[in-house]
Amino acid sequence: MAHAGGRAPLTPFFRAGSRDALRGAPPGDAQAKKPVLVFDGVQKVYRQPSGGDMHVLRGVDLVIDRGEFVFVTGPSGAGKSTMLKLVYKAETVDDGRILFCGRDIARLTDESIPFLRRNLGIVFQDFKVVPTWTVAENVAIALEVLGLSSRLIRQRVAVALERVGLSGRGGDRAGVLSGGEQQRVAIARAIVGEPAMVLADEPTGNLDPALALDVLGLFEEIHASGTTVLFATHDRTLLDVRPRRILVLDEGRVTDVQSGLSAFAEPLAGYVDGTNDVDVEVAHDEPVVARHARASRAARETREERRVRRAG
Amino acid sequence: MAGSLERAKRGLYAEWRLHVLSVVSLAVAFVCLGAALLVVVNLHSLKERWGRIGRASVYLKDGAAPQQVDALVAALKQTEGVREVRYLSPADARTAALGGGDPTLKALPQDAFPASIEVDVAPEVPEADVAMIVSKLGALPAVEGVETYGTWTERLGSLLQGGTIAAGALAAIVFGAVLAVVASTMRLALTRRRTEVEVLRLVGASDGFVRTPYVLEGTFQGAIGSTTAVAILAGLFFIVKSRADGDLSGLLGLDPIFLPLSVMAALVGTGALLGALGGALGLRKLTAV
Ligand SMILES: Nc1ncnc2c1ncn2[C@@H]1O[C@H](COP(=O)(O)OP(=O)(O)O)[C@@H](O)[C@H]1O
Ligand SMILES: [Mg+2]
Repeated sequence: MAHAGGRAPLTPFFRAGSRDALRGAPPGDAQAKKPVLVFDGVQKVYRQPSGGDMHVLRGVDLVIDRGEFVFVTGPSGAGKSTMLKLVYKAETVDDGRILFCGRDIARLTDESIPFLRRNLGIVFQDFKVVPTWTVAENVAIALEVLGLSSRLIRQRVAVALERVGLSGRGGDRAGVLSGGEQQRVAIARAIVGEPAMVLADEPTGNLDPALALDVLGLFEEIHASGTTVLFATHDRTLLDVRPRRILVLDEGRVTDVQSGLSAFAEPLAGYVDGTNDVDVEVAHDEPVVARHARASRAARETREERRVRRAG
Repeated sequence: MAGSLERAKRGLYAEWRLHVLSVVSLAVAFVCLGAALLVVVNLHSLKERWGRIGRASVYLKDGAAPQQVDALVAALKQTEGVREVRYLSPADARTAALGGGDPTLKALPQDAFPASIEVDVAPEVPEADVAMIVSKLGALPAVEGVETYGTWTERLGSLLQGGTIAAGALAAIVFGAVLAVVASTMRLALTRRRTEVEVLRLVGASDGFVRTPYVLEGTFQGAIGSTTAVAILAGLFFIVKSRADGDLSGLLGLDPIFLPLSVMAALVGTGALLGALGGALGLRKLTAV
């Protein structure tokens, strides 16, 4: 149905009931080939206090389909956080369009922003967990804003905490948790509302390498259950855990690199000639850390090393 | 709403020191206001009491003939609204004055006490009528002068007016102070709870959802502060009253009274309302994260 004019909607971003339809389908599903997020010639300029303009994004085009897991990478200051901020409307585009689930969020009114954010799960480097609240309260808040019944909230919070490996910790004060645990709380809060997409901005930035892989594993599990994930990181070691679609952001533009066919990411160079067919069979009962350590090792292995290993 | 209450409770609990400090300052402000109101209320009841008593002393000239006096007494007894008329000879006046046993009074000569006619007017008689009777009496040849309690009531009236104005000014100051205290407490609570507000914004809380707990916390603060003030005032009032019992009421002609229930309720209500307003005011600068 045609929309009358380009006027910004005052109505809720999504009607109740339509949220389920937005949930990502598992990858490979025929229905999955529907874009969740589209950047169309997006430009972003920051006005510097000193006077000069800073063009962070100079015409970014990209399409992310439902059920995809996409990395955004690039050097520090490339504009990764800015890209995500444009999606959850902490910043506004200067030119171009951003379609989220088919609607142009560049034209969204301030009143509609909460409705947009209820369809997004957002995870940050600094966790953003309320230390004086309990773990369960921190997760429940994402459902309380939806006005769900407290019984339903309790149930879904318990499920979310179990998914991030924190079942039984619901009553603990979030402030006493370790960094890795706090990030799990933040992830549980991001997924408990079953959002159309999860945005992660350097979620492993404050964690040591083992915990970082652990957290990446959590996002992969979330993705495996059908959720679209956009994961921003400058940490290359996370990129080579397994073949992935990677968006490389540099000089204000995005290079879309499918399945690691990249000249950018040096550890991924092994994929280019196709001979390095990394086969990481995933045993599902294997602990997350071990699984990723193995995957990481496999991805880093050079052709020479592999030939040597196979011959030997 | 239940969620907002829950979050308000969490906020009060987490920052209880801050909130206790705020409540104490509010209580002090409201004690000042309540004390002023207490004075006004008692002045008012004093005026009510004394304003109703129509009583006049008609002082007679030294040379007044007994017949003139008798005629005057008879005429007064006929006057409408007059309940009692009593002649007081100089000797009577002297005994009445010396009842207190004051030795300096005893030294005074007999004629220092003029003869008088004491007139009691019914309380229903309007002050204007009493004033008319008084002016007529004053014109009579045997009469030296007339004294009524009207001047007393007038003075009490102007005192009451002054007290009311002072209480009004004090109320304005107190209201301003309460708003400022609650607003700055909320601002402080807000900066300490930056993460909380940030999180609420991120999970898509509406503006009202973010603000309501803070407004509720302000309301609690105002209500608790003013209730504490009323309790403190009541305690002080009854301590003072029990100590100064007989003398005070003897002096004033009535028992001092505490704030009526309606005034107490209004104080607490005002406290809650100002607290809510202060809470909302403290959140003015709450912008999107
Ligand atoms: N609010 C802002 N005002 C001005 N400049 C900003 C603002 N936010 C970010 N920038 C600048 O924009 C550039 C991109 O920032 P950011 O998106 O955070 O990069 P990344 O997340 O890739 O490290 C940086 O140079 C940063 O200094
Ligand atoms: Mg960043």
